[in-house]
Amino acid sequence: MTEASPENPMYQTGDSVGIIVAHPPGHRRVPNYIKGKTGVIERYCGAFANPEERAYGMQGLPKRHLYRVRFNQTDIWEDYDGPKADTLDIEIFEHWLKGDKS
Amino acid sequence: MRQQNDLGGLPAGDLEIIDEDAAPWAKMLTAIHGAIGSRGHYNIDMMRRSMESLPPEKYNLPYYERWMAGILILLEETNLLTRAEIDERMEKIKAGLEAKK
Repeated sequence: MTEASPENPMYQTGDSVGIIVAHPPGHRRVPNYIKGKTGVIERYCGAFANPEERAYGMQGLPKRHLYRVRFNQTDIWEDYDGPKADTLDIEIFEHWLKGDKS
Repeated sequence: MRQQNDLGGLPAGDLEIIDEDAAPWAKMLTAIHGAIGSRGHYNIDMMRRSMESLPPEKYNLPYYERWMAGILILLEETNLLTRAEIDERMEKIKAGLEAKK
C-alpha cells in the first residue's frame, strides 16, 4: 500500500462519496447510522496513523487519508424534522469511502 | 450489526444532566491513566477498544468505573500488572483499612 501523504489524497473538496456498508469486527471509527449514506467532501484533513489498527497496539502504518465529510441531515434520518439546510460533518478515513474514483 | 458503543440514532429518552465533581479515586485513576499513556504503554485507541470489548454489564457501569475496567484489561495485556498482583494489592489495602476501624 502506498504511504498516504498530503500530496496524494484520492478525493478533493466537493467530491461526492458514499460510506461503505461493512461490519467488520473490532474497533471501528464509522458509526452504523452513516453506513450506506452519501455525503460530500468538505475538506481533506491530512494523513494519520490508522486508529483501527493502533487500537490493537500496532503502529497503524501506512498512514491513511482522513476527510471531513458533510451530510444532509434529511439524508440520514427518515423522520428528520429540523431545517432542510441542516448538515452533519463526520471525519472519516479514506478506506471507508466509495466514490467515482474508487 | 451495531456494537454496544455505537448508539447514534437510537431512541435516548430524556437526558439526565448530572453536574458533580469526580470522586477522588476517579481523579487518581485519571492521573495514573495519563502517566501510563504518556510512557507509551498504551494509547487512546487501545483504551477505546478495550472498553468497547467489555461485557455489557461492565460496559454499562458509570463512567470512571468503565474506565477502570478498560484499564485493567490493558494493564494485563501490556504486561504491566497481572490480575493476581492487582487483587493481592487490593486485599492488602482492604486489610489495612479494616485494621484502622
